[in-house]
Amino acid sequence: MSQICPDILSFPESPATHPDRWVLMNVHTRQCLGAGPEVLAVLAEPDVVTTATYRVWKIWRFSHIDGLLADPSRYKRDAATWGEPERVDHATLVKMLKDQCLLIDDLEAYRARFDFKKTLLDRQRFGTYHQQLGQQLIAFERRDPSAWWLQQKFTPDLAAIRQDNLYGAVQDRFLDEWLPKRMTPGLRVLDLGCGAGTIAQKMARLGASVLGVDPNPDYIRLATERAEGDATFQVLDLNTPGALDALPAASFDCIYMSDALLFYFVPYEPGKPLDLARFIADVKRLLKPGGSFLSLEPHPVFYVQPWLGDPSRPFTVMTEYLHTHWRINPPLAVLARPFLEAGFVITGVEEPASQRDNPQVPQRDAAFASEFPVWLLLEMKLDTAQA
Amino acid sequence: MNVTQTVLEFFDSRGGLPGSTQDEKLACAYLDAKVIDSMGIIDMVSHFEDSFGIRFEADDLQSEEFQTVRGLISVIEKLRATAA
Repeated sequence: MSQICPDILSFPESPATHPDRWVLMNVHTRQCLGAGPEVLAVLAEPDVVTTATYRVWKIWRFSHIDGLLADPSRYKRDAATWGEPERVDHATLVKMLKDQCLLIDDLEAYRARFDFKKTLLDRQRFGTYHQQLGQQLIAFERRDPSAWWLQQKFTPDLAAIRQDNLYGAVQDRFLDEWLPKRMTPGLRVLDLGCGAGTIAQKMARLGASVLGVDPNPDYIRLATERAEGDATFQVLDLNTPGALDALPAASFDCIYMSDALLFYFVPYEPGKPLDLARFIADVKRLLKPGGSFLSLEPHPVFYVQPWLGDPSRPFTVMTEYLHTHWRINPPLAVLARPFLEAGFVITGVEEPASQRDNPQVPQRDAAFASEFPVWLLLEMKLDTAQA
Repeated sequence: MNVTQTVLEFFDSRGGLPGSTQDEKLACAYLDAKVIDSMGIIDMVSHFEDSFGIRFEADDLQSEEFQTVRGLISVIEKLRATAA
């Protein structure tokens, strides 16, 4: 016997222009199907066979292929782009609904699918965000994940942050406003995971003396070629135990890290955690007295949440927070606690947002990020009263 | 080109399949048995595509059939028949 999956939402995609085009979405698996409203009756009573014809649109797409900060909703937006519907009979419709986990046969068997993928070809288990991304990039699209990481954030020459997505509209804009408040001439800064040095260069242009480190020798070569002001770069893989030992103790006023700390909490590969305690000990050792650790990370609540509703006033739904099976970043308390326990105090918190209207990015992107911050900046110092 | 032989030779070059008879080898779920790891899949897929002049679609890669050596051979044979 088929039953409606309890994890689904149905909503109109473009009610003003296409009131008969609905999205049926499984919010946990982020699968979906476009459907005429007549399909809703089949969800309610799937085993009642009819002779009717139903309109469906195959609208699912792995939208994260466009980037981490692209629309996380995983379907073709704007019903005007859906094209002509497929007109299917009852049996075909039921199969399509089951393929997208909108109808299920057995709730227990369905719940059992929420587990780590065993391999890149495993479609039975839903897996984590990173596994889904790896599966899509490597197995299905056959694209190089490291090239994808860069393309989604930087311009093709890797010299600047892209302005046509939220990296530009939120992160870059925020750093341009905020860094001048912190970077002073001669300030000694360590940029951990500097990539091709884009942000390290911003800091150096403000007069800071920056050392950028990254595991990728190609990025470091590029960063070095472009270095201006007091910026130097070296290859260093934080995942190698003892990698930071070569840097002298108490040598930095500021340690900056963006979009990298999350991997200490939600490992890229399930079951292979990185050593957070060791990392924090390294940060403590490297900071000068009174120095700061600046962490700009995906927001614990709003990052990779689906952008639903009207493009001018999007809303979202939460599916998990404290116990992450799919998400890629830790809850706020989990992120902060190890640092607080290690003697840090939080001295600054920022939730960078987009401007509501930004002609360089789509309306929905800007509207979502103007209301829901997708990054969180924590500024921490060692508690001198304790030390 | 003998598909079974080429496929078995590939697995031999990657450390070999468990089992003493050809039948046991063909029944092997080579991903579960960790003969091929996640990254090795891509190498394997490219190898067979180049060797046989075929192209696996996402549905082929994710099929139940693809998970065992025997099923993999059958998928390759079907794709070769379509390509021919």
